[in-house]
Amino acid sequence: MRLSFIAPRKKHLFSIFTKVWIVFIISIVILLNIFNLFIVYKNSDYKQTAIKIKNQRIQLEKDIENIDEKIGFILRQKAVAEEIYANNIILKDSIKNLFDLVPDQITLNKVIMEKNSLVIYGVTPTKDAYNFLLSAPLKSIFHTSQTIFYLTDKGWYNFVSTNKIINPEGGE
Amino acid sequence: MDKSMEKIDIIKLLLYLLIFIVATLFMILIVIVPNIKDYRASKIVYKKAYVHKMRVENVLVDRDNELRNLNIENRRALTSFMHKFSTDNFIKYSGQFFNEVSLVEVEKKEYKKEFVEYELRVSSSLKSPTNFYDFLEGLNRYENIIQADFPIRMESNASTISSAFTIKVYDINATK
Amino acid sequence: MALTKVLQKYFSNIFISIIHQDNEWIITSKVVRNGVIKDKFIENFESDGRDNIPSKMEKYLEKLQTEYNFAYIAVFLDSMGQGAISGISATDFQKNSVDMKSVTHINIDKNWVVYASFIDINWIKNLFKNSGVDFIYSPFIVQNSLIKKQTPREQPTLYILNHNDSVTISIFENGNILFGAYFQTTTDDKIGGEEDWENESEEEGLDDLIELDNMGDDDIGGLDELDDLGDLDDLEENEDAAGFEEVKEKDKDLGHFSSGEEQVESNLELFGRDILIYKYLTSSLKEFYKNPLYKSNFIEKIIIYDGYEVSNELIDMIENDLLMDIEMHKINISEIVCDISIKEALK
Repeated sequence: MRLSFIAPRKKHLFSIFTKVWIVFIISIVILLNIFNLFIVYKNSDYKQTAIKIKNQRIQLEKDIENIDEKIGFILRQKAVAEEIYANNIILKDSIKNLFDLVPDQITLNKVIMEKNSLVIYGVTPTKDAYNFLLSAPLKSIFHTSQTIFYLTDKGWYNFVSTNKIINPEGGE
Repeated sequence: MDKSMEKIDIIKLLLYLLIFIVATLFMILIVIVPNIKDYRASKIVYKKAYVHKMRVENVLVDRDNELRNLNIENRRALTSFMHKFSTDNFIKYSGQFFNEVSLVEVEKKEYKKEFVEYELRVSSSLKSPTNFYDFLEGLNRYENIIQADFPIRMESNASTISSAFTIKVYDINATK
Repeated sequence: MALTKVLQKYFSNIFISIIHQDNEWIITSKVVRNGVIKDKFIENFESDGRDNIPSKMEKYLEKLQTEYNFAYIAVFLDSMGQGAISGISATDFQKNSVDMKSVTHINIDKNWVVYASFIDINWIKNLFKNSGVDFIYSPFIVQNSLIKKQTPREQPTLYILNHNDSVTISIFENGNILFGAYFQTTTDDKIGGEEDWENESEEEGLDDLIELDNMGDDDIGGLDELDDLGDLDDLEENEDAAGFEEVKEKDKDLGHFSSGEEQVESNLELFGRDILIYKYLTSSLKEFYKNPLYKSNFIEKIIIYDGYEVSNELIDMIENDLLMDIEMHKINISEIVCDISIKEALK
């Protein structure tokens, strides 16, 4: 109020009309931007999570590999054990069968069992008894079977029976 | 007096309207639409990854169960493999069936690199072969995995049968 | 916003000065941009009194304000309730019998004050309530801006601002006011007359003014023509008649003296008004010299800023009878108001 009795009215660069439009346009643009930011945020969120999930899945796959190894190991142990158990039983049965095979008349002194061979030292009253009762079954089991007889004082025969199975891989 | 709201300048109105339309279209077409495309794409990728992971997870659960079950089923064999072989224990066990048991170590060798194999020669005396049968049967239930092996030698003496046989003891490699 | 102020000068600003003269409103507009006057135009509107504004004028103002974003409307205040006093303190107001509470005032140069009553200010605001008003200028402000244009005079000088409807008299010494008086020469009903005197006496403390009419030649000196004052009433009544308007119609440009037959008549009418001026002048002088309130120094020179018409006779009269030098300047008050508002708005 330098020279005038009253102060001048405020002058605005933009009319109300212009201001309204400016505010309106800017608001819309801001709203759209917010919406856009929201989309971008969700987008990056999905991308990140997808990567995270992928890594988790890879980890899970590693775990599965791990477990598979362990399973394999167990299965191998199981196989080995069962084979051994079976072998023990087979062994027991073979021995049992063998001894059952021996008739009362014949007495065994010594038995040497190898993987592919069986040597029996024993005493038999008669050759025939031996041949009939022991040799025949032995021959049916083994590929080769040889017996040597030794006459004893008492009239009985000591025999040494050597029986072999021939393996396809070869040898005793 | 700002009468701009009462007497509306049509040119300004049209201009502002144009600016508004251009701005909005720009925002929508050039900024928002590509982002929405990207968003949809990454959503699909995410879903795929998720489903994939779920499947793998199910497989894992199944395998895990399988492992558990195997562990339970084969507990005896597994623990037997783990058990360290003790000569004294074996002699004690054999004593149930034989008299005078003695062990001689033959050799230690690698068996398929997973098991360590001890070979021992057992000498014992027994009353009758039945003892041997029982021994063999019981061997399967013993604390170690042991296979009785050839050569097996039995000789009847005065009152007893002296026997000699090999046992193979299977032990899990210490490093495992 | 301060930003608006900075940017404003790069846009077109229009400065509209509104002044009432006799029976019309004169609107002078100047368009200023970047410190350069781009356009200037003048419009007149017939007035039917000071109570209201013709609707054509309102529309005109509205049109201008819609056209230009930055528009300033300045109004010349010619109401009675205003004046100027020396000094700026409350005691100064008291000494001059001016009620400080009922006026708004402006300090000039921290030395003297121009004041106007709130009633008059609000009256103007109300008058222009539809179009709005930005500046209201007192005639003293107008006079001061003219005085400032010249070199300051050390000797006390008397200045007269002559306007159709008013006469503003002030005495300055070295740029400081010593005495200020404002007289309204036209009201709605009567022109001149005793009414003004009475009003003035209230403000200026001119108690003995009424004596003037009865005075002889003694104090004031050589007022021969005053005896013819009786004719004045006739002459003044004629002002309502064709006289003045005839003059105006012939020469829009104020200050032109018509020649020929009409000259005698118009001179008479003019003369009648000049007598009024003379009256005011002498009474102001008397007041100035007599009243102990005013620091009296001898006044040698009178400078007249004429926005209307002053006859040669008056000049002769003042020179011969009052023995004072006269300097005459013809001015356009409306344009000056415009210029003042430009300066004030754009600093």
